[in-house]
This record gives sequence, structure tokens and C-alpha cells, in this order.
Amino acid sequence: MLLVERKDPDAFEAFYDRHGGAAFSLAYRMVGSRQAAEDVVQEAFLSMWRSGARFDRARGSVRTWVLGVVRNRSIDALRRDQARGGQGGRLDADDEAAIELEPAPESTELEAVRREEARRVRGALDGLPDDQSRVIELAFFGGFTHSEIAAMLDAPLGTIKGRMRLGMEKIRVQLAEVAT
Amino acid sequence: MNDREYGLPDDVRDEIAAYVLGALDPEHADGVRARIARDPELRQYERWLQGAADVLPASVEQLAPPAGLRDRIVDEVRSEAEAMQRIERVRRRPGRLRRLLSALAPPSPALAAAAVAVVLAGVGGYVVGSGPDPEPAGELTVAMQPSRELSAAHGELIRHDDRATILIDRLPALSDERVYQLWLRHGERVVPSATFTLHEDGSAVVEVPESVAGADELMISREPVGGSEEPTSKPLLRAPLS
Repeated sequence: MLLVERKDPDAFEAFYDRHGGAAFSLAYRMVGSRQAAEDVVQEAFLSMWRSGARFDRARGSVRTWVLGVVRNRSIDALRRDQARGGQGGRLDADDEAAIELEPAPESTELEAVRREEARRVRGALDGLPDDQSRVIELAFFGGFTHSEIAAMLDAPLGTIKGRMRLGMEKIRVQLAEVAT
Repeated sequence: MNDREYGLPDDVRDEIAAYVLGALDPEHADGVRARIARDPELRQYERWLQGAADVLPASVEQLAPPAGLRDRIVDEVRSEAEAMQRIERVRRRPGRLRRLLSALAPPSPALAAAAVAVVLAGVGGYVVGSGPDPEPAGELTVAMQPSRELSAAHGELIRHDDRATILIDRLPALSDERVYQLWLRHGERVVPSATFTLHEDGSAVVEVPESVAGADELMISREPVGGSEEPTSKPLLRAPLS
């Protein structure tokens, strides 16, 4: 990261290789179209390059930081599209474009570890009651505020926040139990 | 540590959960952030819960990004890195134009134009004149002229053969709906070029993607995000190319 902060293009290329797949996957999940996801990832990585990749190490891993930047850019893209009267670029689940994208190769032991983590997290999400997983997905992947979610689901604001808290605490507890 | 070990009221934990998910509007989030900063127990709970938010991205299906995306990003990064190296060389070796303009306070457009004419006279080889650090052969630095409304803005066009790099600072920040755009003028015809946004410090380094051969002038204007086919506003900075 030090070389990335010093704007070493070789180091940045390696930085992209390490995090680009996860970044694109998250962006695609959020914005729902391949082109929009590419635009988001390009904007995110170029902004990290131009800002010298400054991040607060006390706040978490580099991967967490990168995906945070990608998530914020995805939310910006969704809101810009909504402001223009679009539907946020989200595709229907059966959209044919989705089948053009290939799964990431499991080429290293690190990737295998990450796939195992993904399986555990998905299991934790799948294990939540539908009303809790729904609000978490709308907030985290949809970029909606709690007020917007309350309006969408026609539920009181306090109920929405309560579902968020219960769901997140369950995920956290479950992941801690697996780790011990 | 689990949720039962936190003696925080449910409504407080609800707020922090929404905050951790990024589901609060900005003002509300600022208020919660300030409360967390003041309270060690809130901070501990927030960090614990953040562990759940941090792993959510891992739940999405992992896809291989398109190869073209990598190429675009890497090409842009390398282009900017090379431009920064060229600019750094120019900064370390100020040419006649820079020394002349730095002696003028404030520079007038007429004197700036005269200074440009002096430098252009040296095209084709090292800049004629004294000085320990001549510019490399074929490299020419031209000061950009700001519009009256942006007299504080500063720009330089560094031309090497048919390529050009723009170095800009003190341009005003733009809203999320606007970008800056380059234009190349060939006689009466104005051709759109790259759009760009500013670094946090108000500066920008922009490589002109097209060849500038045959162009008479380079201009910069404010345009809507995505750029325009024709300028929708007056040029803010301009530099002669011929």
C-alpha cells in the first residue's frame, strides 16, 4: 500500500489485480448492469489512485476500504440514475446480460479462503428471517436510507431500524461463533 | 463479545445498526458519529457491529471483471503517472516563460501573450536563450489564459510533438452534475475532447487523448456530467497550439 500511496503505477496495477474482482462483483450486485458496474469500478479505482489511496488502517483491512469506496460510488450511480428518472440500472434476475459474466476463478489458496468466508456470510444471511434480511439488503446493497425503506415496505421507521439491528447482531454473533 | 453483553438501550443500538449499514441520511449520520466519538461503549458496540457490515460484500457472487476494464484503468493510471513525471521535470526546470511570468504581478493577458510569442519562437529545438536547464527538445510549455471570471486559475499546456498534457490548479470545484471538458479548435470547427474532474486540492493533470497536430487552440469549459458535443458555456482557460 505504501507504493500505491506514493503513486507507483506498477504497485497500483497489482493493487487492482488483488481487489478488482471483489470490487466488480460488489458493484454489479448493487447497480445491476455490467456497463454501470464497469463505470463504477473505473471511477472508484481512479479516485483511489488520484487520492494516493489514503485510508485509515485503524478502520479495517485494505479490502474493506476498497469495497467501501466501491459501495459509495455505486450508491452515487444509483442515485444519479434515479434523479434522471431511471430505474437505477437494476436488471431483473432473468436478464440475459447476466449470463455473459463468468465466475471468478479459484486460483489461489487465498481465493479459496475467501470463497469459504462467502459461503459462511451467505449462510448467515440466509438464516435470517426474511424481514430482517430484506431491510439489510435494501440498505447495504440498495443504498436506501431507513426512511426510504420504511416507505417502501410501509412499515414504521422504528420497526425498520429494529430489524436492521436484530439481523446485523445475528450475523455478527454467528460469524464470531464460527471463528471460535 | 455478543449483543447481550452490551447494556445499551435497544433504540440506541437500532440507530447504530442503521448507521453501520449506511442507512441514515447525512445529517443524521453526522449526529450519530459524534455520539459514538464521545462514548466509549457506543464506540465498542459500533466496531463490533461493523464486523458484520464489513463481511456483507463477501456474500455476493464473485465474478471475473471484463479484461477491458483492467486495461482501461491501468492505461489511465500509467498515462497520468507519465504525465506527472513530465510535469515534475518541467517544475524542476523552469523555462523562460515561467521565469518571465513569475516576474509579473499580476500578469496581464497582453504581456502573457507576448511571453507565449517569445517561447514559441524557440520551437523546433531547445528554447533559445540563457538558463542552465533548457527544456528537452520538442517539449514546449505554454501558459493558458484564464477568462476574466477565473483570473486566479492557472494552467499550463505541455506539448511534446503531437501530444499535450494540461496542468491546472485553482479551478473552482464543481457540483456533482458538472465536469470540466477539453476542446480542440481547428479553424472554426471545435472538437470535443476528454472530460475531467479536479483533485481535492483543486488541481488536475489531464493528458489530451487526441493528437493536437493541426489544432489551433485548446480550450476548457464547464459542461454537464458526461460531456457535451458542443460547448455549452464560455471557455474558462485557453491555450494556443499554432
